Amino acid sequence: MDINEFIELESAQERFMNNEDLYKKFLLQFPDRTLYPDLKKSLESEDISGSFEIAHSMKGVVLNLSLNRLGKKICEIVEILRKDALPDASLQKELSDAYEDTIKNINYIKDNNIKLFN
Amino acid sequence: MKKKILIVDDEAINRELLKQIFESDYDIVMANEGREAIEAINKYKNDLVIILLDLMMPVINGYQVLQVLNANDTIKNIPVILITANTDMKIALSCYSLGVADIINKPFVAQIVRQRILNTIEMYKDKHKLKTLLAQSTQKLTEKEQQLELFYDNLIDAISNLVEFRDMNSGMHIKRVKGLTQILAKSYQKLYPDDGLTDDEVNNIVRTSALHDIGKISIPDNILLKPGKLDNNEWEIMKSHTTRGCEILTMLENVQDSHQYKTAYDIVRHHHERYDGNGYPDGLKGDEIPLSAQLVSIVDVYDALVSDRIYKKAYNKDQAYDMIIKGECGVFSDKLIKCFEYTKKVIELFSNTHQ
Repeated sequence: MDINEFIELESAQERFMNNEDLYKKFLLQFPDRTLYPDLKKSLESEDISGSFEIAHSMKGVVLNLSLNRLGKKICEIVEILRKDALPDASLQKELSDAYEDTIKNINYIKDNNIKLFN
Repeated sequence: MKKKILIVDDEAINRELLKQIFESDYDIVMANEGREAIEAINKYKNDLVIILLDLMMPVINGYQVLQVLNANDTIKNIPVILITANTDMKIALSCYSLGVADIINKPFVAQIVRQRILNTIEMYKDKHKLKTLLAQSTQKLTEKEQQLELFYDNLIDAISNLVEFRDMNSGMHIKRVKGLTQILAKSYQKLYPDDGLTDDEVNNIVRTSALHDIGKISIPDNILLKPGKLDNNEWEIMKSHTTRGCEILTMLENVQDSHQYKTAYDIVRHHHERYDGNGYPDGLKGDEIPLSAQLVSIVDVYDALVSDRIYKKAYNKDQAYDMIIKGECGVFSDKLIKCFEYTKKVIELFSNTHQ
């Protein structure tokens, strides 16, 4: 697994001022957060403004954690929702894939206690 | 005690990241939504050096917090930096118009955020220092100005009294003329607000009224102090105290600001003019006579009537009042007469207490 494909480690290390414990604390909490399930539910019910709020929050968390692959998708979706539109099914699928992949990777890091910062 | 930084964000990661940047130098206060933020601001407002505010939050959002801080002027004293993932330009501009000091986009780079925030804190510290310095300097200047004005007033009074001492035995005439002019001018402001007589102008008239008879310094003793009636020639010389006063003032022109000089000149020259044109020295008529001179002229007549002079005994106050109202001492404007009637009691009281 190449971690750099889903985490931009360099920017994460810089943002967290080399504090790996703090970074890991938030990274490992991410799979337990309801942001994505909430967004999925909201998108399914076609609630644009509700979806925008959740997506916006999720974007903040994801970018802070430098989860770049997921970050790209969530940014696209935020911009579409900002224009009062709903993302199409294929984009929603891409988001779902990126999310699942990210969770899988985070769990791998957790299970193998992988060192992230230099 | 360390100064405080308030971090307002509904997202724990953001709060922790910002906290980590500043916790070695500042006490960190955290709030996860707007209501909590406003409570913290009220509680710690004297110790807060900066507020780091997220925009999108549940319950009360950052924009609403900004509106509150703007309405109660807190934003002028405590800088607010928006830390937001929202890059909408319109929102950014409206936040600037509500007074935010800076906007930092999320996700941020710790070192850059640290520097920008510390810069803003320093800038506001300097701003407060300058504000305090400016207030202190202004206060000092105001005190100096007041001292100068007092000195200036005393000087005018002293010069005026020097002249008065030649034919009177106290400086009270000057005090009465100033006091009565003030009473009359204030009533003029009240009764005729549309005429636009300002407080500054009243002060100006009152202080320069002291100089009205300054020209008497040039009237020889045998005329000024003559107990009996003056012959025509003597009377002409006596009347010239108005124009001679102006000659004296002309010599002082450079040491006075032009507006006060003009008021003084008007009063000295025209305080014996009468509304029907029968006064001197220029025979001005009606409102050709400056209001300053009209005010002083009626006051001067009244004080002359109710005082002992070398050539006459004092009339009692009621007699003096009637003589003026009936036009026996020359014609004054209806407005001035109204003011005189309106202030009769106060004028009498002031005269009685300044003998």
